Amino acid sequence: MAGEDLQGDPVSVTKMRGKVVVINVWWSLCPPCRTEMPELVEASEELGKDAEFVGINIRDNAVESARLFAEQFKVPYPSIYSPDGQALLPFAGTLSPRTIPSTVVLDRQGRIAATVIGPIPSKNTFVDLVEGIAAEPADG
Amino acid sequence: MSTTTDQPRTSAPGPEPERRSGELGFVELLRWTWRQLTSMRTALILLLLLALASVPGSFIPQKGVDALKTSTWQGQHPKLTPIYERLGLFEVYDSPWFAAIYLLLGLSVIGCVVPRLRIYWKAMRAAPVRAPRYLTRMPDHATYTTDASPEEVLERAERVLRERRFRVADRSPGGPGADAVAAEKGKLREAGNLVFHFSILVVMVGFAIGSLFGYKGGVIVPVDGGGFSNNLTQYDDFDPGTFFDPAGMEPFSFQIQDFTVDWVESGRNQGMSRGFVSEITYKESPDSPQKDYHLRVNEPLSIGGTDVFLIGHGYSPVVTIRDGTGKVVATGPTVFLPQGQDLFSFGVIKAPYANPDQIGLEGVFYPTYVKIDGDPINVMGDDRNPTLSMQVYRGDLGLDDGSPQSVYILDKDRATQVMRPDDPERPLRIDLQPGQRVRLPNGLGSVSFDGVEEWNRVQISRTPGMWLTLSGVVAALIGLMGSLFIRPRRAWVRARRGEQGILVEVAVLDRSGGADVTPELDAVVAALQGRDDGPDDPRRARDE
Repeated sequence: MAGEDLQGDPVSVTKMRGKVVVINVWWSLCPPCRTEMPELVEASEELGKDAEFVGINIRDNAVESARLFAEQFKVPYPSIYSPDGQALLPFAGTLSPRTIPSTVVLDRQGRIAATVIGPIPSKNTFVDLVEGIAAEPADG
Repeated sequence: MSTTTDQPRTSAPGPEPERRSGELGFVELLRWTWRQLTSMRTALILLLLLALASVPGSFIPQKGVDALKTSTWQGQHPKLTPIYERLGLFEVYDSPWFAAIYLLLGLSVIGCVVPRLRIYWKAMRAAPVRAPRYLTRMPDHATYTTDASPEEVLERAERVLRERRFRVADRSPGGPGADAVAAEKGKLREAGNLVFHFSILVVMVGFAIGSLFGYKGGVIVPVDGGGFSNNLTQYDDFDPGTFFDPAGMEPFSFQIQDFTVDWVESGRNQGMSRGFVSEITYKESPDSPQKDYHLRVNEPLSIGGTDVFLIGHGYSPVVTIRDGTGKVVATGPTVFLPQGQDLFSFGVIKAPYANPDQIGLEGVFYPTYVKIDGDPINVMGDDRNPTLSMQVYRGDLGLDDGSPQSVYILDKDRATQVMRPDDPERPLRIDLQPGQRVRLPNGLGSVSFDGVEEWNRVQISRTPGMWLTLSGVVAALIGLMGSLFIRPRRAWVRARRGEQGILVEVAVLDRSGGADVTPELDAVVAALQGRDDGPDDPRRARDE
């Protein structure tokens, strides 16, 4: 899973293997994404050492809309710009994102450990969830 | 039997209750109900009910067919909507009462077919009915005399009838009925009838599989390099079956490379589209090779078990909004929804990042704008004179309370409409043509119309069991034809010594009623007499 971020730089989820990866699927005009984002931003700062964060931006017809969103919410991590949703296809047949927003947590081996369908419940719950996954021994 | 006693249980039966006439026991009631349910009349009534129940499905917009249209309709009919919701009229085909009719019909057909199958099986293996004693009492019969021996006549009769595709019963010489040949044909009529009934079941099962395990969704895809990946998040509206599992969605994706519309330039339908085609590239999965396809209306692309249909098109005006600080706060194409054949469209543009206030635009798009007698008119669907006409709102667009909202609706509850600077009583209306830019009053910012892009509406559906349904329909037709055109007939030939030689009696009976068997009878008699029997005209006796 890889792509280009909102500035056109390459992002590779595969290269993050070995760390817990949090993948958040969002779209600039979805109200739940807008309410969820501040919590995610806080969570990403809190989990700085334990987890990598990546966004997947879908359905925005203009990269500027996505950029404006990221600016507004001061999103510290990169987002893959994928208006046609191609970046989601590697999830096919698994706990794939089904709604916007959705958040997928990959364990250190790159396997799907958890999927949140809809906005994350709350920052603290989510941080606990990710820390639990990060605490698993690396040999699976 | 909910009373409990401490007495040891005795097996002494209570007194038999008196039966009144007309009173049915429980088992009898069940039997009566079953008889009623499996009767032909009930099946026909249920079929009629099914047809009637489908009527609201075609008059009231259905969620499963066009979610967008349905929500628009619901917005226009606030009084009717809750009532219709309760009755399930927006989802007729998923409603419990529709399912009830469907299941009762299925049960009725099963209850009708299964016992008949047993009867038919017996009838299939039964020998043709022995000749009645008086063949001359049959409605269609013929007699003649011949000098051939009875045995010769009968053997010949067997041969003739076999040639005429009759099944001939074995004659046991010396046994009862040994002086006559009995034959029968057309047993397939009942088989055709049974196949027809059985096929109805197959069609129903096929439909059920399709609607339970399949899904149908719609999406609007930008034409210029826009694409789609088959993931739930990519659909604008999605209608899954009850047992649909998203994990089984095929991971295909496609991009629209080019889109052309053939416009009618003259005549009565001027300005309408004659047809349109999208050139797309697609991949069956992220790792498969890329292929090309020309997507046209009614020429869907099939990827595995999923069909991709092109069903419509429209325009996305490209609009850039700058806020009071001069910063771009919204840009890019926005989908506008066509209101009719001429693609006159309605749309909404939201700029939630604008400062000091969020900005929302709501208005219409004319692909080919013409002013006639001072009225704005759209004359055709092609974008030959694209014009935007929007009203402006400022304030909270309701995007930040977390509740989902439609991109095609502007939430004006907490926003205020911007009025004309020269007349605070009249709403501001900004009219733009490509390349133009308009400054908004009160330092709100500016709006520029950069150009027009196009979009395609695509419907994606997976209907497992479709082949089952189709073969059911074909089999039903074959069965129906069999049951209409195959004539079940019985024929007998008896030969015995009469006063003037050997008397031969021939009778043919049509068992489906109403058919004329004279040609059959004549042919049998002619073949029996042949030319070596001399020119002996058959003496006909007919009881009308």
